[in-house]
Amino acid sequence: MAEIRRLTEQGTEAFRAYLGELRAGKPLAPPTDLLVGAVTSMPLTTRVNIERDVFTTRLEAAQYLARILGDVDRGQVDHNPGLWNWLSLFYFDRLCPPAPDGTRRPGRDYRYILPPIDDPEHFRHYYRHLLAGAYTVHRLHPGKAGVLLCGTVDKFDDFNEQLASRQEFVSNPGIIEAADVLYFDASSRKPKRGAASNKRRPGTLRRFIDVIQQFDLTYDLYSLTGRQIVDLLPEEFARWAQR
Amino acid sequence: MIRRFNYTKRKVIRRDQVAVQLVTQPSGPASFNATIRLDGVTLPADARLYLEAHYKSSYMRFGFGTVGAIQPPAERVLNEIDRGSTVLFRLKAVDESGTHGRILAELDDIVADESGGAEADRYCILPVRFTELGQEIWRINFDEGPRPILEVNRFEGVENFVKSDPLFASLVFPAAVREILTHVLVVRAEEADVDGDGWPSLWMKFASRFHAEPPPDVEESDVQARLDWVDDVVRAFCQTQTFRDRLVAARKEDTA
Repeated sequence: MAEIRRLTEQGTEAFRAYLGELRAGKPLAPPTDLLVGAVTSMPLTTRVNIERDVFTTRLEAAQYLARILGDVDRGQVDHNPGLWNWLSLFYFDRLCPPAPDGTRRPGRDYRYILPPIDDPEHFRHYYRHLLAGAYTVHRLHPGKAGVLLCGTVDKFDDFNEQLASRQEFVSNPGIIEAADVLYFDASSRKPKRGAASNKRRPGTLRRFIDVIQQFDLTYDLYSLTGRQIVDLLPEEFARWAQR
Repeated sequence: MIRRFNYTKRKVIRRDQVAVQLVTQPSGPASFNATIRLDGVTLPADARLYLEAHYKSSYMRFGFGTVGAIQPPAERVLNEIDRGSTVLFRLKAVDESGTHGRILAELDDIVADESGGAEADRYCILPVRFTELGQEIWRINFDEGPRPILEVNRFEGVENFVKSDPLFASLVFPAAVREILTHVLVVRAEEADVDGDGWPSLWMKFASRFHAEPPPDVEESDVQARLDWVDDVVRAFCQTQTFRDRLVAARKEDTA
């Protein structure tokens, strides 16, 4: 058990430097001293305790974080990169697990470090942060968005890249529900196989995006349920809804 | 000529028919007031009106009654919109008589006025944002929000530098105009739908003030013809703004 803090600018830069060293092939352990250092971190205004090893999937992570951060002012959560950077470092073994030889292969910095909201990079990458992105999707669609949250927390798949990057998609409960109806296999808790093909095969995710963008010119999509949206889709989507 | 396409057959709501004023609070989320006038727009009286606030992944929707009886909701607090950000609005008139609501008219990219009314009727085609850009001084951001943004690096006195320094104006604005027009005519290569009130159309309208000929038809002209047109616009824009004269005069003052 530990108390959540936030990384200062100095702590964040040290974390970023650590990521760079990992990419250079150095088998270094996470610099956990940054989490408690007086210069590299600061306490939150609200005391929150946190535990390790409590989640595996994006959904479990989002649910856990939503629960423990429930009493913290929303502004202190949403626009507090220091908090999300601290959480990334705290859970780094989950977000970037080591290989048997001790090396790690981190993704781009924005997977772990959230750019400040007034930084132009924020808008481009906020949804790609492995923890903040999952948390945001869960907050927007509690109990839903299975296709966006079913993966392991260290992975960011094409469903998230294609849907969460589009404001008009990720903010629309009907569209996210329709994506679940089409592409989420509730029994295996995984996306249906082949759904994220990048070749625009009939009825697949990229075709879904094309068609919804066309519908958006005609229909008031925010007033529709997921099932109503699925019913509007052309025949090519039928087999995905039935599978 | 600027070609006019309206494939969706939507009715046009003019930008001056909708005004949104943001009411900020010292603490807590902002709220808003909105004035909607639909005179001259032929829409069914029972079509529903919705004003949607959005930024990034945050979104809120407010019912404003019907076209025949516009009624602002009592609750207009933007508590689900990300704080500390620019809130944009869109107005929709929706036909809900069928199974699926159809959009009859829409006005997007409504910027809320935060000046208490002084700026309510102005629409800026190139908003400026001061931000962290490393060693880069400025750039045009096409990715964030519904129109291009001129991003300028932060340093002491930068607001005045942008607002009134001839050095900035003469070096940056012509290049910015060139980049945006090139983006519309060559990179996007889309016809500007002037009925749609989108940013490419507004930029084409702006640019057309500086050229006797309308923008070249994207489908029927080659890239060089479009680039030549952009060059002409930028040249005339600089001529109108007397950038060289203002720069030379300012430098003389500096060295005097």
